[in-house]
Amino acid sequence: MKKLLSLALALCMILSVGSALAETVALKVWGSQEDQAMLQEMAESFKAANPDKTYDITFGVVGEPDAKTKYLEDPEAAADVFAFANDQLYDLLSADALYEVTLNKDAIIAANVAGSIEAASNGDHLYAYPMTADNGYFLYYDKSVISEEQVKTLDGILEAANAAGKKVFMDVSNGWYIASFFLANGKLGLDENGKQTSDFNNEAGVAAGEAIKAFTAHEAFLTGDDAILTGGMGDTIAAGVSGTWNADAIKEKLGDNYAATKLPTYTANGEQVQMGSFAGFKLVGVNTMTQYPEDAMALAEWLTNEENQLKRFEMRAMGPSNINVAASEAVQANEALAALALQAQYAVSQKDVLGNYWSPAEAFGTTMEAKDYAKDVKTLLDEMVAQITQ
Amino acid sequence: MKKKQTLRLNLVSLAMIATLLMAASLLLPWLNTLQMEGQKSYSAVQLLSASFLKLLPLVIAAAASAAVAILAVLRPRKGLLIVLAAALAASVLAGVYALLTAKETADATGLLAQPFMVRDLSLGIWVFLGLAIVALFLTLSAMREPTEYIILTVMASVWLLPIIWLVLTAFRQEPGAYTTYLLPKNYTADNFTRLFTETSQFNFPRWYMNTLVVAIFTCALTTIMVLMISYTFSRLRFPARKALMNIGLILGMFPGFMSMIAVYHILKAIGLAKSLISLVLVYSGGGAMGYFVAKGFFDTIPRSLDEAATIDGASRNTVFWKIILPSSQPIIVYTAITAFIAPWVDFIFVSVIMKDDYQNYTVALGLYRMLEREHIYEYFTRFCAGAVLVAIPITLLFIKIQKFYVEGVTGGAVKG
Amino acid sequence: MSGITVEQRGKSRNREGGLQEIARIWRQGDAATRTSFLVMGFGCLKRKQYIKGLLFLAAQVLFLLYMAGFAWPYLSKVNTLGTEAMRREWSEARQIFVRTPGDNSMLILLFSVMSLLLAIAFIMLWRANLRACYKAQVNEEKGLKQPGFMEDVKTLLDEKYHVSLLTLPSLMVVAFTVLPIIFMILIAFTNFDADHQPPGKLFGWVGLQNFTDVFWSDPLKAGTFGKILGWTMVWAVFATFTNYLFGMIVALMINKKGVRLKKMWRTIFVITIAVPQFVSLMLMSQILHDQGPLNMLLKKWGFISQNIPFLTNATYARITVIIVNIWVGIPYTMLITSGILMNIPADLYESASIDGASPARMFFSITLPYMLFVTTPYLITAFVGNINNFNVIFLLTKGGPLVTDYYQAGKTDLLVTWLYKLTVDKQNYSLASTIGIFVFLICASLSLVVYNLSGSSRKEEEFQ
Repeated sequence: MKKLLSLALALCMILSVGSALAETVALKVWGSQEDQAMLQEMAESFKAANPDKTYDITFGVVGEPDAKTKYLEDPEAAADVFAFANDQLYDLLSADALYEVTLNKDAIIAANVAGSIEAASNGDHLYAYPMTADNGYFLYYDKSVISEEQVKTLDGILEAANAAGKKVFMDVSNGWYIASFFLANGKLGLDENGKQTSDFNNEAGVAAGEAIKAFTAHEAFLTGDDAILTGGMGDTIAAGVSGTWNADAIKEKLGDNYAATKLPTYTANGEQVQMGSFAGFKLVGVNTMTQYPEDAMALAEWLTNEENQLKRFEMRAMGPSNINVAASEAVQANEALAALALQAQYAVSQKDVLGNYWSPAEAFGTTMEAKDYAKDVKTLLDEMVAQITQ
Repeated sequence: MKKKQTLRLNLVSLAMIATLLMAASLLLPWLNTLQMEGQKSYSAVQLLSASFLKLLPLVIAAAASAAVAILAVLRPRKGLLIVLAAALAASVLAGVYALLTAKETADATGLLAQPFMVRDLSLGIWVFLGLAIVALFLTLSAMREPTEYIILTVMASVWLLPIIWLVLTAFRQEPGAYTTYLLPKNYTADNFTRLFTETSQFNFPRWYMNTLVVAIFTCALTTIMVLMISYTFSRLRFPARKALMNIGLILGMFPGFMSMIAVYHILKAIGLAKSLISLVLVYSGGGAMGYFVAKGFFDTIPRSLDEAATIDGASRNTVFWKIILPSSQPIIVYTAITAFIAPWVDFIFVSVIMKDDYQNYTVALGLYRMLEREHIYEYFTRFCAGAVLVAIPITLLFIKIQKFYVEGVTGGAVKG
Repeated sequence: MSGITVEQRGKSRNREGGLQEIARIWRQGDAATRTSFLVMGFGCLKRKQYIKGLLFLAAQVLFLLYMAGFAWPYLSKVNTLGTEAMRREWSEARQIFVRTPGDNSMLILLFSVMSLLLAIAFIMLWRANLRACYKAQVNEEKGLKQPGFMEDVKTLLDEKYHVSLLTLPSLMVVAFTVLPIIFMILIAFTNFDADHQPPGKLFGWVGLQNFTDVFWSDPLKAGTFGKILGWTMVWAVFATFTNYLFGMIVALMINKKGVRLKKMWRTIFVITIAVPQFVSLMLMSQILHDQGPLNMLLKKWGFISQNIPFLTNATYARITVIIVNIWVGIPYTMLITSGILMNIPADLYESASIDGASPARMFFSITLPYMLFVTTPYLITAFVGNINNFNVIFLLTKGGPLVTDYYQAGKTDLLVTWLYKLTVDKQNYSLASTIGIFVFLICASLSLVVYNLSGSSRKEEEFQ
């Protein structure tokens, strides 16, 4: 009798395992257009590493900057696993979008640089898997036009570029880049209710605003999308602010004259002030709505493990957040990542920046670029801060 | 009997005077330069030696015009005047060419100390252009030909140039959106072939097929519904008719964007989100609201026709099929083609319905995506190629329906 | 004979209201008819109209099942739009937080509206059932033969042909236009935005809060709304009348006596409309870009030394969108006005030219008044179309340039593009719906007034 029972039990177990085997786990992954091929490779290796389960992994094209917006359009239709920029963390959390990471948490914390873990956490809770540590910007320049001494100050850069009849590129009408001026002596924070605070309209902020005004009014100033920088570098552009994703394109255009360094200082009230910047991370999150939380977490972890961070660096030149990969020779030798590291000491975490910040900051930048001086800088900054902090 | 048109001889003389003055203005100062000893001016003739190719057409056209003008006064013939008009048109073109290449001319002469700006141009070129147009105007008037040709030509080029630029860019070899030059340096058909071969990121052929399928079904469904609605409202009388028509009118006034999110969730609730069927439903649902045009058309079909049939014992169903439909071919064509075009041009509803599902995009949304910041550099020329491929069938269809289009938009309202 | 009585009865039925009719059926109905008030199709079944009766009965059963089984869980919560948010509990076995879904405010609202529409449809069916049963009773009393099912179906091809023709279109329109619109109107009275996004969060009723915000109490939103409304109106006026006037002038030039190659000129302009609008507009935005070909050319020609910010400076951008709209729109107006212009009685012009009127005078004293008279409805449609002209603005400037004193909007934003951005980029659905309702009110009142004043509704019968 007992035997029979155990047999039945065993049968049951086999059956249940069998049904688990038969069940296909359908997961959807979001990544940017350029990453699709790479993500597919990673998914294949994930399947190969987990032969006991049948996975049906599909892909949607949603880049890291758009992840939050696309997620909120319909959380149920969003991907199970998606990459996003770490400034979206709080907004995603307030929409209850992220599955808390509880599996292998300690291993993940140990494998990645502290900053990236901090960026993916709220208090002691870890909400996402660090993927890259390169979501920042710095200065690319043409060595043949701008000397190492000149590149230290914005004035020097502008002067050198202008003398050569070339331009200095920065997308000022973009909250992400324009913040570099304000962050020199200013701060974006959160109050106790989780609302955005900003001091960009204090005295230092106004000085930064005036510096932006002078910069955008300069003859050698050039703005626009990345496409303009990559298109014109070397021909019409002598220096430009951008991130690692353009490194290859710019290197190709500049050849031997390729150089990258930290952002320069700008003149505020007659003194030189070092420009700040955002230090951002790209993270991979698991959708709270997912049907298969464990599998989604496993996949997210897989996409961000050491091996795949290395792959990401090799295929797309993205700076790793994994400690081992970051310490590897190849990464250390990368000029763009070195420049980013140089800028890192002046950078602040992007985590405390909420969704409210971007449009008003862009509006201020646009007004400056359009040389629309109907209102003075102080008034504009007051209006900007009022919207950021509302 | 055609009345023979006579030339206006006094205008011929005036045209000659204008033409001669125009030619003489080649001797006026064209370019002012600041030099050590002060300002100095150069006429077109003086500049000729420095920038031969840029100014030679100008001199030839002006000389030819002057010669023909004198001949025309001596022996006024219509043929001569036509030649004169052509020569003057050539002069205008050459003048414009000289104006647009003035910077190169100035740079080539090396006469300018500072970078050239249009303010450095002197009176001569403006006088030349002005007189050339006046002379052309007078010549046309002398022939009793409409002077509207001048304005129409200018306008036609303003309207066509961007389209021509689109086509040329579609064949451009160099990538990038913001080039420093206008005409492609190298031509290639690669952009077209790559649209169909490199499908891993942007699956253009698939999108094209999607759009075609959606368009065909939308076209069928919309046409059927529009005909049903408009026949009902035009011919049948029933209690709720007026109320329903007004409701239809009111519903059309809501901005579509307001409800598209709700439409998405309804589609999701019935399990159709992200499918091509949902696009067909949404487009035909929208298309059915445009029944006013067809109703206006049915209103104009004489009622006596169906009354006669009814007396012969035909049911309303028979009347619809046997009497109304056969005589509404134009409006059927119009409705069908407008419905067919809709899926090719909408990119908003598709993006709300399809979200991240690239495989089910339509061409319009796909092309729109190609111009987003991260893709524009690589994909701009392919965007142009794709746009040409979308534009060709629509242009052909539109040229076919333009006659009905006019009747359609103006509807019964203007048939008074 | 019988046809006339049916018609007369129909007429008398029209005069009495729906409720009176039902009351009359109750009074005059026998037991079977009265039972049909509760059990649909009973009267028909009793009088041997089996198929009809069964269909009514089946509809009732289905409806009740739907209401009880599917709709009730949603309908019962419509007053609060849900109280239970999504919860998570720690699962020791799985070492993760397990999610328990809560109420979904959006589905509650959506399915409630859907059920409401279904209930209305059901009531109409119920009334049809009463009529049918009563008619069967009357037929029996008069000793007439009961019409068979096939005969009833046949009326759908003749007397009730409108029912058969309108059913499918009405279903489509109700599902994809009416239902979404009612839903979105209701959203305007809730706080459905990015912070209250189902299924993670709940949203609830807030009354008129959004309306007061937009119209006065929130200075930023109210200010933005006022300024955008102002620009929307300016834009609509300019966009409509510049196109109308210039389009007409082009049409006059092409149609002028003696101008040759009329077809060629027309085709040139038609080509530019036939190119899909989003293509030509995106093309224009590239051409007019700060670094675009037009600026490059102007620089190359020496006309300018600094790029002209066609689309990034507020004033330039506003002028640019109007000019580009002329480029896009003239061919349309040209096509439309061509036909009408040829209909202007020639003797008007002849007598005017005998009086020695100049062409300009003839245009202003004959052509323009005639055209205005005939095309008023078209003008209004065009005006409403321009208030809602999403494509031109969105594809050219995306509403930009952004300014610091606008809430999530730029200087060329129209109400509809603002609405779109609030919906798609900011998920502020409640605010967007509020604006949508306002846009609707403007457009609808304009159109209804003009439509009813203009000829088209009055003329309708003349043709027949």
